[in-house]
Amino acid sequence: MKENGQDISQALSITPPDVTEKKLKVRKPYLGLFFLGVFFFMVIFADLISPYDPFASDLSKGTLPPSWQEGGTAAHLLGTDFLGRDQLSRIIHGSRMSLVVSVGCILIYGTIGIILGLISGFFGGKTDMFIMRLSDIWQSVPGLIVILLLVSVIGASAKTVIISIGITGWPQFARVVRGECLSLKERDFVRLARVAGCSNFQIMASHIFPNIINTLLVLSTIQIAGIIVLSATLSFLGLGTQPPSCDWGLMLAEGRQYITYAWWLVTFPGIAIAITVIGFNLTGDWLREILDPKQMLR
Amino acid sequence: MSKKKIISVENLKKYFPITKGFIFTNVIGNVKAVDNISFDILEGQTLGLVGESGCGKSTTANVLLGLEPPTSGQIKFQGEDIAQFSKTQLFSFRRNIQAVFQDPFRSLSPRKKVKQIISEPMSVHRVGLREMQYERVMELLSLVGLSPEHAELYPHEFSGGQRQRIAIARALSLNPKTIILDEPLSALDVSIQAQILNLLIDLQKKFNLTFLIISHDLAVVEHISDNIGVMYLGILAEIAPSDKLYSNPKHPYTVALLESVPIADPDAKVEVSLEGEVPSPLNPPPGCRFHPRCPKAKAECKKTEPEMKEITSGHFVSCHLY
Ligand SMILES: Nc1ncnc2c1ncn2[C@@H]1O[C@H](COP(=O)(O)OP(=O)(O)O)[C@@H](O)[C@H]1O
Ligand code: SF4
Ligand SMILES: [Mg+2]
Repeated sequence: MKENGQDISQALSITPPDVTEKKLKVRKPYLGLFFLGVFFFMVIFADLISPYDPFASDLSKGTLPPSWQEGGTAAHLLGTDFLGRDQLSRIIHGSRMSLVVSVGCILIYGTIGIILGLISGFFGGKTDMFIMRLSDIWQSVPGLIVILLLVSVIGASAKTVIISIGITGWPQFARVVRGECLSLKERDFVRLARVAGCSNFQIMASHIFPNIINTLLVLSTIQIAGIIVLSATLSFLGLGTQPPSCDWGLMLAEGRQYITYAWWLVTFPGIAIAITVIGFNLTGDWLREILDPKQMLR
Repeated sequence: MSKKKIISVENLKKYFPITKGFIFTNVIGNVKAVDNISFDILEGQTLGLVGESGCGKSTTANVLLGLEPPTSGQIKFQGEDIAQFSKTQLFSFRRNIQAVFQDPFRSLSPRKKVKQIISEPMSVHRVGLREMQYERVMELLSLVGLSPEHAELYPHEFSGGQRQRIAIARALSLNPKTIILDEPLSALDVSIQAQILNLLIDLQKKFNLTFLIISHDLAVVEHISDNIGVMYLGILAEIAPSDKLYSNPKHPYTVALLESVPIADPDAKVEVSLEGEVPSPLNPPPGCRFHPRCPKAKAECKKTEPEMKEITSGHFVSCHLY
């Protein structure tokens, strides 16, 4: 802190007064948790609950409308696509792709972001400045360019999406971790860890990191929502998962051509994306309220 | 003197530079948090360090603990300059000097169990096997007046006084020679302060501990201290054996502090003669730092800074009156 020569009043507030505990009215998490429940139910039991093999096509049954519409059959609740594949089964299996892609991205950029953020916040000074400028530069490069570059080098696939989002997304994580680390390292228990003889690594791993897990959980939950939208967009643009994978973004792209007479081909994957994204967002907000890090650090 | 010096501080200075600019930083001033202080602490004794908030007490503690490098001056531990220590020497030196801080709500890792908190210094220094460390934790818990089942709990399950006991147990775990106590009672209820103070006195007797105890309140350190140093704006105004300091204070600042000590009712704090703002350590007044607030200031006081003089054996004052 002092090396940066920031505002002196900040440097002086080594032990700021306790944050007064406000009894915030915590919103009810039911809707978000319900949406996430539906999502994870699909992920876990996809093989059991899908009425059909999501890849099995039957051209004689192509482009059937949902069962309640004229021409629909009870056998295909949400209708079929142009190849006669069951929509419901494809949506259920598509949840897995969303999860794999978003968790993959979070793991990659979370790891990069946590390590760089910890180093930046803990060591401060020149190291901090270097990492923060690097992340500024990184953030100013449009993610789409990185993705296009990777697509042209290794081809479009789910893996490409994971890698490209993974290596572009870390700056935000790094910033949050750095901020937490900056305030934690001035805490008395961290200073006492040093008095006890802990090394820098021991302090970061055993005194700082455990106290930022909550924040990371909240951040990840909210970021997953963004990644799901982004990866759907990439698939939609043909830069992500390729046919015949079950992927909601891809289903949107495929259905787009038939939108004028087969509304269900874009509507249901769209609803699936929306519900999942809203589920993660609401849950993230709720987690933020109940896991208020300031409470934890008292 | 029969007892040997365990810590001696010579001409210690700690300045915090105030910098401006982003990439090309330049220093635009120094916060002179500690500005040339010297004192000794004898083995098994207690030095009390008192003074208003912001006078540099905690900074002195941090430098002694090796948390901050000194700007200049020497700190000797059992006669050896700690600045000359190698990395490994410094690591083992840390075993000898532990600390207890003011706010027990902040000084314990919130996500660790009491047994982990107390045994951490032992595991860091690889003292004993896990079972021995556990036994030691049990022993320490009973030493500080807690019970064995407390080992499995988390800090938030305890009251302030109990947490301070945990902090003390941790500080004791490596059998240190010295413990630095930075305002160990200030965050506690008055009723609990006495208990913790008595605990500290007991432990000191039992283990021949050397204490540096810091407080903004003279009354707190009176009973426990053998010597008391009074700090003002980064300097030591007066340092003396406690009975002398209380019965015969010399420095006008000490006199003022003693007058403002509430005798019976701790809530009725009447600041008798300490008027005026504490000047900033960024820009201490020239001459004697206390002169803008001193009732006895002379012309000389505005110009020259007084030097530390020994007026009777062990009683040092830095004031032009003597
Ligand atoms: N890291 C720091 N950077 C800049 N100034 C500091 C820092 N730490 C302490 N100070 C300043 O040094 C002076 C002494 O502070 P401190 O030692 O905490 O006082 P005390 O413990 O006696 O209340 C104060 O003016 C404080 O603002
Ligand atoms: S030197 Fe002068 S101003 Fe300073 S304390 Fe003594 S009498 Fe007061
Ligand atoms: Mg202090």
